[in-house]
Amino acid sequence: MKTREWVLMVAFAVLLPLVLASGAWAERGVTDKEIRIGQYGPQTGPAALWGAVARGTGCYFDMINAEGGIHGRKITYFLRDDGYMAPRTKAICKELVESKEVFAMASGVGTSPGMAVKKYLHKKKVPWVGPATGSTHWAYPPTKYLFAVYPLYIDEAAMLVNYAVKNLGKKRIAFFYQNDDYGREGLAGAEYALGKLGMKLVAKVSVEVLDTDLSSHCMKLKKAKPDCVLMWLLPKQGAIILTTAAKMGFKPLWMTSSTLSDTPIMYKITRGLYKDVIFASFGEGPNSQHPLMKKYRAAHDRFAPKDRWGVFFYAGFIFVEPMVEGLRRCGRDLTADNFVKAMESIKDFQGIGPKITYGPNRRQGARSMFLAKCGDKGTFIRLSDWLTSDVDLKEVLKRLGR
Amino acid sequence: MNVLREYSSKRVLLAAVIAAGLAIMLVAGCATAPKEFDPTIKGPQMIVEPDTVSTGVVSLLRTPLLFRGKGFDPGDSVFVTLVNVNKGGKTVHIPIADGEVDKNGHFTAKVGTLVKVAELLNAKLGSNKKLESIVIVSRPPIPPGTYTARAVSMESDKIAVCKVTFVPPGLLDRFKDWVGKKKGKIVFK
Repeated sequence: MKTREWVLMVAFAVLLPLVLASGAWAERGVTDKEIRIGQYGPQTGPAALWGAVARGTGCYFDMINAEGGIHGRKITYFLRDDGYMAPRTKAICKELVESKEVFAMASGVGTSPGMAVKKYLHKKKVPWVGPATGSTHWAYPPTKYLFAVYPLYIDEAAMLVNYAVKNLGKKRIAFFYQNDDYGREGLAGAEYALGKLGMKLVAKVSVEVLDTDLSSHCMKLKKAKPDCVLMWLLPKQGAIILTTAAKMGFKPLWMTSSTLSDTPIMYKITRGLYKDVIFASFGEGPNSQHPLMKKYRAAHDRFAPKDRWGVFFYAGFIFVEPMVEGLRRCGRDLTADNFVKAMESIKDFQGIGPKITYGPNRRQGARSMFLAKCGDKGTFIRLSDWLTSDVDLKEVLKRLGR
Repeated sequence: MNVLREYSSKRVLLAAVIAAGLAIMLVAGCATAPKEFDPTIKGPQMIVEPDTVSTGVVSLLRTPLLFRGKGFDPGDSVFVTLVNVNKGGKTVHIPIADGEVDKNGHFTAKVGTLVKVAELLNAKLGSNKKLESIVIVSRPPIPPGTYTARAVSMESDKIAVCKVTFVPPGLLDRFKDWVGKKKGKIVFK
């Protein structure tokens, strides 16, 4: 062998370990000391109230970092304001994945923004945990890197119907919903549950997102003489329908989705009409004495004291608790594929949200919720223990044409 | 007398019909033919309709602003960004529309209401005491001028560009906004 070849071989032998050690072939977004995680969420615009989720996640990661991080790595968190506008969500995700090189995406408010980037994140093999909506689109059909946490709107509606009929003796149920995926999935869950009880809705009335005069909708509902109305709406429309109904002397029992579970806010914007409204909840109440809630409140006071401690803020903890559990189970050898395996090993994990179980072909982590109602001055009153859905999702999805 | 009155009303009617006819001809004459892609361009390209838009609140919200593109990879998705916009003293790129690429490599991307309000009018959606939606304008809209709109592929390096022009509201547009203000649907702060 010539001298030059010998030199090249020696150089290769010396340099190879150095290159490997430098992390040149490392996983995207993971270094010796850091895990990069991104999230989009509306910090401005009409959905800004829900943007607290993304700040809550930041607070949770601050707490994890203060405790030493995960296997010696700190989380570097990138929060971006998408204003609830899908074009911005797309631009943000491209930037976070291709420029900031995040390892994973956390949560993310809104079905429409999330759907805009779902395919892209999958193709780029970006793990994504806990989109902040109860849509079936995240886990049905399951995809490798996407893990849903938020319980399904279908399950929420079915649980509320069962509670209204079985526990409260309601006989005439109506459904008032936003004419989109969110509303239609709630409607499908309610119709399924009533069908199992041998009943039908006495009225179903839809509303468009930008409608603000709900008088005619309210008249239609009133005419059907329901003793209970489930509303699947935006918070503002929830406030409008309660105000309109009160003016018309229409006083059924109102029930609603977890998306309207921020009782202090709803109580305030309805000027007290939200009192006694029953809703589904995916997490402990704001004043819960659960040990983790005490710990999280302390984290809030330390890292985000200017943010209001409300359900949407700590929802940002709930949606990523399983992600941190997955990172812990993964150990030091953190790759997207190893993370997926670690997530798939999670069974009956519970933080302050519902019990979470994943598996090789299971991406919907939770199908449990509990029911609560709004008390005086917007207090959160728990009505039930955790309830698990018995909805046959195959059948409901078939009805939805999926 | 009756004959005179009948004659007079017939004249008014005739004048109204002529005026309406002229107005229709005028509008029809102003209408432009739908834009078509340039067949000589082989790579990605994009067109926008209309290519000139008023920044009057009512006018902008009522004008469908649609980007169409071709030459992208089937199954890809795109977002359309306005390049180098002066926003609050900073020069930024603003994503304003998005769409999915079909099996022929085409896409359509419509600028939504929220984007028009937040990104082009620099305004906010709010509510009045009846909780009705209103537009709150506290800052000037996008500065008048011709901008490059760039369609960016999510999954490849493909891009396409076209030009779109924003003009200050004319007399009619300002009148429409005045009516909106009087009705309480637009609030200028």
